[in-house]
Amino acid sequence: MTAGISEQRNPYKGEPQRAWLRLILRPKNGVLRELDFLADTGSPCALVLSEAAMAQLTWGKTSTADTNFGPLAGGWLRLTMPELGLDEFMPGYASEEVVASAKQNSPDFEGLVGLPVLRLGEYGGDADSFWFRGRKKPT
Amino acid sequence: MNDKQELDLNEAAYRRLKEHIRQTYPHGRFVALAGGEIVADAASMEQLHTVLEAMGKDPVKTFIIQAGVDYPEYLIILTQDVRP
Repeated sequence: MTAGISEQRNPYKGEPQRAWLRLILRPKNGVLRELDFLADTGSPCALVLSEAAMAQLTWGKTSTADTNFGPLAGGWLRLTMPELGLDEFMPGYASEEVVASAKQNSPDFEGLVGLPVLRLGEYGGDADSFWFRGRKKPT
Repeated sequence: MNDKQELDLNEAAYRRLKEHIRQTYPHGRFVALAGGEIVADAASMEQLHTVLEAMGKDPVKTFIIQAGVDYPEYLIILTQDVRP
């Protein structure tokens, strides 16, 4: 049995219209940050955000990755969304180029959320919106 | 040693020690490297921070991986504006 499966459903936005999620990240010290990320199921990176955001939010350094956008510095991020059953430390990356690319679609995108986060729950879309469902909570 | 040199040193140490870490620590355990060596490990990120702080180290500046987890050296991000 499952109960209380929460969902975030967002109408596509930007030009061209893109799927997106609003995620909450918890820094080691300081206030929670709520950021909009372009959702990209083709991205093998959990999260990509700006160097400034990474500096504010990171819990530690981790492995650097070479990518088609150049080398991305790795850092640990804490995704904190209890309504979706998520409290996870995830390796993320900082890249001004990737963020700039996301902002070409909509200036309020702060980066990319990729498959490692999306697969923590269920995701999908229809003609109007993209949705993410949190983990099923056993009863 | 500046931050970039320290990161490079720890990245190289991680690549060298990856298999040792996989065989030595339980899958998913958080392992910290500093100065090119393993300096601490813990079951959770928060516990690891506590250990590192007790050692006088800044966890936010420390290189941290999870045992048995692969961190690819090359990734392709498919979204839109792909650079050469």
